[in-house]
Amino acid sequence: MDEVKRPRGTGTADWALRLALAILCVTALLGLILPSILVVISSFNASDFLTFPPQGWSTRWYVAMAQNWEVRKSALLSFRVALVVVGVDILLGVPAAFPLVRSRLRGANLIKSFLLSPLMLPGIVIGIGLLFFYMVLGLSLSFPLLAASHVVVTLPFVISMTSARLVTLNVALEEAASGLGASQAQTFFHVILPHLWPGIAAGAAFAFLLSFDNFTVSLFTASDRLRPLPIVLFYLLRYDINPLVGAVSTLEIGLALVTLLVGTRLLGLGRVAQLGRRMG
Amino acid sequence: MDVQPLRGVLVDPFYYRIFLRTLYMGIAATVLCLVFGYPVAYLFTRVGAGARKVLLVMILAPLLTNAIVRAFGWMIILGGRKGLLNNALLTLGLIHEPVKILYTMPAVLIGLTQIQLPFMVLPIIAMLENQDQTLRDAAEGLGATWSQTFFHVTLPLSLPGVLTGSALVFVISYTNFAVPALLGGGSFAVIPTYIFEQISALLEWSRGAVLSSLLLLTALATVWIFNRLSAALLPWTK
Repeated sequence: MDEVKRPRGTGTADWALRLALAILCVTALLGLILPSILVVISSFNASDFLTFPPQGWSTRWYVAMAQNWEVRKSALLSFRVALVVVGVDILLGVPAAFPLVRSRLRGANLIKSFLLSPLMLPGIVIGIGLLFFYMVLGLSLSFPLLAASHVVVTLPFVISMTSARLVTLNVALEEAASGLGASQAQTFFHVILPHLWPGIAAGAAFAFLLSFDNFTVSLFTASDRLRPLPIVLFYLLRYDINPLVGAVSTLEIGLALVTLLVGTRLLGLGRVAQLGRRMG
Repeated sequence: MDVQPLRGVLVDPFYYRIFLRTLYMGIAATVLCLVFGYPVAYLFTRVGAGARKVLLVMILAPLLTNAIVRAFGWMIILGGRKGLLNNALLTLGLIHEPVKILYTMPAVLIGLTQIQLPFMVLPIIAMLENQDQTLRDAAEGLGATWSQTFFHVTLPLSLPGVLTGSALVFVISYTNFAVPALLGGGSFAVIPTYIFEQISALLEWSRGAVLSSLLLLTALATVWIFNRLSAALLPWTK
């Protein structure tokens, strides 16, 4: 369209710039998706090393993954931590969204930035800060502390996704419900909750993924006996390339895509993109 | 109050070198993200709804995959003599000996650029979306060529998004642990990997604390300088 209404021909400088932008753009997009595609392809590689293109195809790395006791144990741990984290996030985050969205208090904005601050702080600083905090309190690293650490970094997502829905809830609806004789509990379960649930569900999905995937905070707040999956994968890759990681990674990429689809269905792509801007 | 660990860090030139390398890593990754991210953001604002969806998924999907998985993807591409890149270059006859890319600074920068690209692209998209089309039409109506319009209208008006994205990418790259630890290899020393070594392997807790405080302070200081600069250079963004 742009092209049609322009009367003049475009100069050499224009074509050079367009070409440069196009090349950069294609390179960037390839760079964004190629690694994930290669991870998936490599997970079906039959040889002992990662050679590209693969010399043969097999599911041996999936078998190796299923038989690896450490990977299994850590995946189960990550799964349990993520479930606990989601539960705590919902119990804390949904009530927290109400005063943040509705109160006219002068401090509300300050409290909001405080609650959302883990989004802005580098993961490594949060991890070390939590570790030192636990040490000062004389606590030794354990399952509840690992889950608590993940709550710190995932809670902002549940709060902000719930808030996003709460903003669009018309107060008149609640007033109508109570005017018609509904109790507070009835209003909450029949009017407020049905409106909020896409936000809560999307927040929970993201919180689950971010806890299950969390690496930097776990690095400092997980003990040697309680190693979540990303930490085990890290040590499998630290000094060597272990093809087994490809099989695990493929499943993780699948999990990420499912979460993205769920989030998009519930809140719309634009809202997810807005939050994506804050994920570190 | 024991200031010994802090003094130990401040007087040792070793730490200056490693801080400088970390700073270089953060700045270089930011520049690369800008160079590759801007065209993607620009493309996004010039295509239809269907293509936008595909682009947004491409931009967001890597963001949701774990840092280890993304680093692993680059290990496959850049890794060793049998890596994809070396194989491709050898087959094309561009090189005669495999080149070492994995476990070097360029590998770390490539990995960081991919991982942080969304943080650059999304704020620029937000800025380009709000741009008034009539300004570009006016420029072209007054006889500006496409590239003149781009450099004198589109780009300057999107600078606030560029600055937001740059500050974000810088902080995340400057403090990143996973990418330098995996793509830089076991002996690649930047502040985040060095802190981890001090705390987990050597149990030098106080030095770890001093270094992470300095890391946070220098990151915040850079962002602050950045904001001041943009306020001074771009008076209309206020």
